[in-house]
Amino acid sequence: MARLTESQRERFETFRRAFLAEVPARIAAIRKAATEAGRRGTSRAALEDLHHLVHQLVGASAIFGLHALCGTARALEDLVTGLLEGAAPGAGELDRLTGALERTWNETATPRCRESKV
Amino acid sequence: MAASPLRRVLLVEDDPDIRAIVCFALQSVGGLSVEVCASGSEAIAKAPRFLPQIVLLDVMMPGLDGPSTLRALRGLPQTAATPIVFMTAKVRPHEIEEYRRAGACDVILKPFEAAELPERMRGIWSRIHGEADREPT
Repeated sequence: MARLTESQRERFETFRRAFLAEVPARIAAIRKAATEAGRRGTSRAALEDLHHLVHQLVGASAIFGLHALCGTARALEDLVTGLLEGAAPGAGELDRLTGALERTWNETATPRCRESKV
Repeated sequence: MAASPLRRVLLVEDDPDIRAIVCFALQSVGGLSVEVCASGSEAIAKAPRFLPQIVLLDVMMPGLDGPSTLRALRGLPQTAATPIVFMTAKVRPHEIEEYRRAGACDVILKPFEAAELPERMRGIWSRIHGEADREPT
């Protein structure tokens, strides 16, 4: 384990808090993109936009230690990857997994979790 | 011949939060000089001037993805032989081998401990040069 100074530890925690503060906006953007991608006849570009947003959340939530959120986002990413590869969309699957993402965040975003260290 | 110590890293990552924490870890914890790029095309523009010793490259990015950026960097005389390390959050079993075949010298999986990254990069750097030193002349 790297030996960190107190100020380095504080900086890492600052990065984590900044990420946590952005998660609601990231999830809202995913909800919007999922709604767009779920519309009948939506273009591949809409799915790619959704995939990009979800993939970023998978990576960042993993690095900042939000494992439950990462797992739910990964399930959504797998679904979108499948859709991009030509899988037939299951009825309501995008909506269901996006809702799961929102619920996971709501359960995660307690004051106790926000205060915990990486 | 012993390699010079690792000093210059080109970081290519499209997510701003990951970019910030990785850059801080490499610079402030690891004491490395880091040029930060938010896209593959930015990396291709900056690399010939920065002359990185190693590139830390995200695999999945909009526009030019990691493998495409790697190919483009290989096409530049200044970075034709620069070691490139991929980082990715999504790996299917066969993909790490594909990335290596594409020219990546290593693959770092997300999640990783950002504070540990400088040592991991130095380890990769040492390994590359150890292997190079063992090659017959």
